[in-house]
Amino acid sequence: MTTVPLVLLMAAPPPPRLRVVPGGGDAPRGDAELVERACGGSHAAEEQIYRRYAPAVLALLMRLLGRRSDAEDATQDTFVIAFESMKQLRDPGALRTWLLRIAVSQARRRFRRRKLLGALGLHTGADDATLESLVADGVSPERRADLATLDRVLATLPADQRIAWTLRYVEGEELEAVAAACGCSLATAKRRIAAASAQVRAEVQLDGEGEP
Amino acid sequence: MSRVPVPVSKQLRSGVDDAALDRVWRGVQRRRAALSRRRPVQWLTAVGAVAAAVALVVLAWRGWGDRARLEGAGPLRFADQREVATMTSGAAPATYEFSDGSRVDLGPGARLDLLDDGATSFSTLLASGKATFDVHPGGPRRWSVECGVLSVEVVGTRFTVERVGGGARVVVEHGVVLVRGERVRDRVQRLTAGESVEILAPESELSPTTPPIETAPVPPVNVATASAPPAAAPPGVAPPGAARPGASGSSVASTSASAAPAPAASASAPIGETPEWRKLAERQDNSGAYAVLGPAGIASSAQNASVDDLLALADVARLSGHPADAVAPLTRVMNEHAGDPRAPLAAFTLGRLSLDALGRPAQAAAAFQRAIQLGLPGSLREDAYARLVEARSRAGDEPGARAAALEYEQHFPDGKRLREVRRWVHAD
Repeated sequence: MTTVPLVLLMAAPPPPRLRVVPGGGDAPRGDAELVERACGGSHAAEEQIYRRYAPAVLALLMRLLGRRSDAEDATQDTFVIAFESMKQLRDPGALRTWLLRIAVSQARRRFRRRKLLGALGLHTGADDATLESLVADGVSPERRADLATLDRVLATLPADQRIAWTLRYVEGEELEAVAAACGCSLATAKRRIAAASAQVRAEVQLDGEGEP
Repeated sequence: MSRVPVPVSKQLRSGVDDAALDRVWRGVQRRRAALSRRRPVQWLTAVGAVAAAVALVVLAWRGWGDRARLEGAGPLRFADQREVATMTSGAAPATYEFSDGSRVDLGPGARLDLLDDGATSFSTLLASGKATFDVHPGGPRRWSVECGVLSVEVVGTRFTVERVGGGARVVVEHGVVLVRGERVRDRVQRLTAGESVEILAPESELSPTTPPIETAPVPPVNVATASAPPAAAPPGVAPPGAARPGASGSSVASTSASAAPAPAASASAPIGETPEWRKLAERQDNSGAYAVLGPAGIASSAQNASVDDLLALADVARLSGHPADAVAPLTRVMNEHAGDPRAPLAAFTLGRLSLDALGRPAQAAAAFQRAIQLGLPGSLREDAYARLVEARSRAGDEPGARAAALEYEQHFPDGKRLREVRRWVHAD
C-alpha cells in the first residue's frame, strides 16, 4: 500500500493557550507513590502519570501502527484502561512495563481490525507516521529510502511478529522487556523476532543486530 | 540491499507534539467522566460518610469541569457562541465563522449539514453546492467533509469542495488535505496547495460534456457502460482504451463516447486449472483481471461461482475502479450463501458501495439491514447500524431512519456515532 505521510503546513503559529499544570512546584514523585495516590482518587497523580508516560506510549504506538490517528486513539484507550484498573497493578514499580503491555494489546486490537476491514476492501486510512516519515533531520535521503523499505517489509508481517520486532529493533528494548510487553514467554518473543528478522533480512541489512 | 542501523529509533524523531498529548488527555478525561457517571454509586450507602462523600464528588466534578473549560474541551461553536447547526445559503453566498477562528464560505444554493461536533473532530456533509473551508491551523480538531463519492480530512488549511453532478471536486489553496473514497486512486490521495481532484458521477450518470480535472498522473480509463453488449474481440485481448494491466483503479473516468466494452471473457478454465483472471487477481493485478473478464464476464462468471470466486470477482470489480460490477457477485453471496460466515461482510461491503460509490441509498439500506440480520462481527455492527440510519434518511424513508436510530441507541447508548445518527433523524 502506498504510504502517505501527512505534512501539516501551518499558515500561522498556533495561538497561545492556557495550560493547567497540576502539582506545580512539587518535587518529581516516584512511580510507586504516584500509583498509590492515583488509586486513592488523585486526579493530579493520574495526570502526572499521563504526562510522564504518554509521550513514550504515543511515540511507540505511532511507530507500531504507522498512523497518527490510530496511535492517538490507542493511547487514549491505554490510559483509560490503566486508570480504570490501576488498583490491579500488583507492583507499582513496574508501571512502565504495565503501560507498555496495555499499549501493545491496543495495537494488536487495531491490527486485527485493519485486517478485517482490509479483507472487505474497505479503506483503512493512510500511513502518515511511518518510520520513513519520522526520520530525524539531517538523515540522508539514502537512509530515508532504506527506512521506507523497512516500512514496507514490516507492513507485510503478522501483527505479533511486527510488534515484537519493532519493540526489539526499533525501540531497542531488551528481550525480557519485549516478552513482558507482548505478554508472552521469552522463548515465544525470541521466536517471533527471529521469524520477523528472516523476512526483514531478505531486504534490509541491519547494522548492529545482535541475537534476536 | 538497504542498510539500517539498530535500534532504528536513533534515526527517528519522536513525532509527538504537545497538541496531540493534550488532545489525548482531554479524551481520557472525557471518557473517564462518562464511566464515572454510569458507575453505580454504591459508596453513597456507606455508614456515616454519605454527605461528606457527595460533597467531595461535587467539588471534584466542578474542578474537573473548570479544567476542561480552561483546556478548551467541548464542541465547536459559531463565533457568536451559538451551537453549530445546518448551514445554508440562498441565492447569495453566505459566510459562517467559528469560535476557533475557522470559516466556511458557501456558494449560492449550498447546504452543509453537521454530522459530528466534538472536542477532537468536526464532521460535515456537503449536501449541495460549493463550500470553501478556511480551517484555522493549530486547533485540536480534525475537520472532515463528506461529499458523497469522497471525503476530505484536514487539520489546518484552505480548500474548496464542490458537488459536480453526482460527483465531487476538491481544490486545495494552501495546506494539505487527504481525500478518501472508493473511486479515489489507491482509495486515498494527498493533495497539497494548487492541486485538485475530481471524482465524476457513477458510470450510469456520466455526462459527455464534463471534462475530467486531475493533477495526479493517472492514465485515463474508458468506461464501459454496464448495459452495452460485449464487443467481438478475441478473448484475452484487452479492447482499445481499457485499463492497462497493472494500473491501479482510476479515480477519473474518461467520457469518450467510443468506449469499447471489454469482451465477455469466460471465467471458466479447463478443469483443475486456475482461470486467467483469478491468477491475475491473486497477483493483485485487478485491472488486468478486469480486462480479461469485462463487466459481462463478471456477471456471467458470478452465475454458478463458489463463495470464494464471488468474493474474488467483487474484489476485481471494486479494486479496478468498477464498483457497479461488484454488485452482482456480492448480492449472490448475501442471498444464496447466507450461511457462509463471510455473507454478513459481503452485505456490509455492498451497503458501503451502494451508498458511497453508486449513490443508491435504498439498495444500501437493504444491504446494511441484511448484514445486521446475518450477524455482522461486533466491530462492524455499530458502523452498520449508523450507516443504515444514513441510508434510509438519504432514501427519503424518515420513519425507517428513525426506527434504525432507535435501535442504534438501544445497542450503543454511548456509541461513537451517536451524534451523527441523531443528526440524520434531526433528533439532536
